Amino acid sequence: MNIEPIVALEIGTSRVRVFVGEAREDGALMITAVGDAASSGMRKGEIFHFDSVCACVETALRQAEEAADLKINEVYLAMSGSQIEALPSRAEIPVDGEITPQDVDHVKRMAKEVTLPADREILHSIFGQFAVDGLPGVTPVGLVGQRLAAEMLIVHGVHSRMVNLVRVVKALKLEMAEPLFSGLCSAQAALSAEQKHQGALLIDLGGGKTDYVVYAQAKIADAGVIGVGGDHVTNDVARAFRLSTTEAEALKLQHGDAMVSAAGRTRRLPLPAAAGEAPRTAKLSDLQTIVHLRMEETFGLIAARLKRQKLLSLLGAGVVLTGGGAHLKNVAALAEKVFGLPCEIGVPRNASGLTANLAVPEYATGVGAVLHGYRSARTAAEESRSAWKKLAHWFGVN
Amino acid sequence: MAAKSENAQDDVRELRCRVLVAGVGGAAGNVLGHALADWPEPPTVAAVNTDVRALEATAVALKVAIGRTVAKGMGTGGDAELGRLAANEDLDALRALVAGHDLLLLVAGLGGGTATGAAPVLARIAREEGLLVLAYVTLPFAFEGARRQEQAQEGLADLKQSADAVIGLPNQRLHALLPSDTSLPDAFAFVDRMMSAGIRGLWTLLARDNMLNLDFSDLQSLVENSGNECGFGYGEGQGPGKAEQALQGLLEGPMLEKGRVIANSGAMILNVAGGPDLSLAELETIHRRFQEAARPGARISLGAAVLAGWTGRLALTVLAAEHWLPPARPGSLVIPAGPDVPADVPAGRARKNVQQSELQLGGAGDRGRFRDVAPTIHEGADLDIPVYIRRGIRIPS
Repeated sequence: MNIEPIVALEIGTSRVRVFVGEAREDGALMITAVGDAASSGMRKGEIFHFDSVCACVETALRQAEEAADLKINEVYLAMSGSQIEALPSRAEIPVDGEITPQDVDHVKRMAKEVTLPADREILHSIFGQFAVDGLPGVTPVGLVGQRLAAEMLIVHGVHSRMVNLVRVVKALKLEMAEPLFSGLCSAQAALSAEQKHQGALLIDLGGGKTDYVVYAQAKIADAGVIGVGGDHVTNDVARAFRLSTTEAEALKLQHGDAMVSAAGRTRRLPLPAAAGEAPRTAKLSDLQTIVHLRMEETFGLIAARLKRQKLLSLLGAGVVLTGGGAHLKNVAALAEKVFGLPCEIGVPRNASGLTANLAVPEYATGVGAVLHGYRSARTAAEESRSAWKKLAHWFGVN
Repeated sequence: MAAKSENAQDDVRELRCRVLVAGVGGAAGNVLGHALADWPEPPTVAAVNTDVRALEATAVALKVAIGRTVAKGMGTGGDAELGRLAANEDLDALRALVAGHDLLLLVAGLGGGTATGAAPVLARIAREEGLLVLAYVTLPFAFEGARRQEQAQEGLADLKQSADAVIGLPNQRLHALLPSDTSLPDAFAFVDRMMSAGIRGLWTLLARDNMLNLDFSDLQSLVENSGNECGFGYGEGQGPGKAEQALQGLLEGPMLEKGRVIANSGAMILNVAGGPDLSLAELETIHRRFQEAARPGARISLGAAVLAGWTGRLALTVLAAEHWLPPARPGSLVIPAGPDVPADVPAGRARKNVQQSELQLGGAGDRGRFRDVAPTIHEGADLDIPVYIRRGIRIPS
């Protein structure tokens, strides 16, 4: 099976990243090149200044092309923001005796048909499970029953915002392989099959937004985006200590902490002062408080939503954090406190050949997008092969 | 209808802008009662409530009882849903109330059931009838409890959707201005006084026979391009230094955050009310002081009204749009991200859901680097504003 190199593009609020993956001899996926450039023109996972975004994407693409020695023509686009949400959907049809593959297709198609507000568009229709006569989790073809149901999760976002991200790809004369929700990509890369099976919450802490994906009862039960990210922490710090964004970002990276410590109350941090200004300091505990409140709120919003949907008790494998924000000191401890579940930092797995410096939480989305692309390319290759076989068979019969 | 006219010119003005002041709920009824107490020429003032006894007790002449079926003439017991149902039960009465007016000044003490539930309905009806709707609301004190706070925030979010602009006055902020030993009745009375001064100021700004022309279109332009964020201030002075006194009260007082709202504002309406002794020099001083205080290039519309019996007295009213944006900004790509904003609206109108008013904890000035993008609103709270500010935590501690 010959699969072209898979390229994933992630246009984030703080970084633009390009990942190139190639199939190894043994069929496993290997990331062969990464392009990683600072992002500008993005806010909260969405485009704020089109031309700046295009320029940043181009930089990252060139880096990756050079490293992989490859001309990139087609990309899988990992997108976020766009008020992406998930809507559970269910369809049921009467069946007569033995369930056929046609029945299955029919009920799946019906479950995919949901009415969304006019400005929204479906990004993914994720299959959940079938139920025959109320018995869930069955493989229906060949069973006998009276009612066949299909459950799906429809991931959708605001059309115009998603289109703007796609327009960047078009502007750079690239082909779009498939648009993907970045949260799903991160889950793809960072969660093990075991974790998905036991139930897990993946939270990707990005610069401009926070994605979450919930696996419960061996299927994806919820997903969405909160328009709050690391930039908000930086902005809070800048506002509190009257610092520039750059200064606040540096302070956050160096001393930021999701938990308030007793030692923080007595320790003072020097703050950058303008020329001629008296030297200033800030209490470490003040910085910790600002960061703690922001992260606690963000986690709290997700926890409240999951609680309402009664999903919180189904997460046997706990919480996995990815994204650049996962580097924040004590962030896992805070998540454990808010969710009342064990929490770990997730790094890309499920792809071989990753060198140590690639196994970082902020690469989960990009690697996950490549993984997805690789799997769908492989499926497509297999399907075309089997379709060819079928065709040959037909011709043979005739 | 509107104020009693004393000459033909008043009639002309009244044709231009017929103002209705309507209070929804018990707290607003009280405020309007205060405001009316020494109001020489009141506009049309109405009280809307589910509670018939409270309606009977208010000094407001025009009383609209709503929700006789759902609330049975009683209060809503703090249930906003009941308030909403009550208003929906009497949509026709509300429609009849607002008909024939150009501007609705809607007064409500958010947090209570009737105010929180019914005010957004009234605002929506008024807008459907073509009125410009300016909501002037209080938010509860912290000690009134989290549930009331939450309910108030939800009401505020609804109101932002349905009104053209919301001016919010969080009681908690006023609380900080009161001496710590202030009694509870005094604290509420203080809030009522602040509210009634505001209502009267707005009314003066709009409806008087103004010496300097300031009218409905000025307000409309300000409100429509303010992104729904208006800061409001009112100051008074008496005696020889009355202009200076009023200016000081306003620019250094709490309502405009010691002038910070003015400093950040792109456009404002400024109205001076005085007696026959109001001098040109005073007007010039006031205008100059605001020009100095405002950011360069800010649009300042000045109006002046002469009131009989106001000799030796001067009042200043300011309505400031901190995020005034020219209606169209071709060429700049702004992607609004608010939850309910259609993506194709220009920047100036895209901020429909922005947390209102500099008078609140967490004004637009706290949005920092997010000030130019549409806000992230969750259950009425603007998540772009630092959490510590929204929770009222002092940093540095």
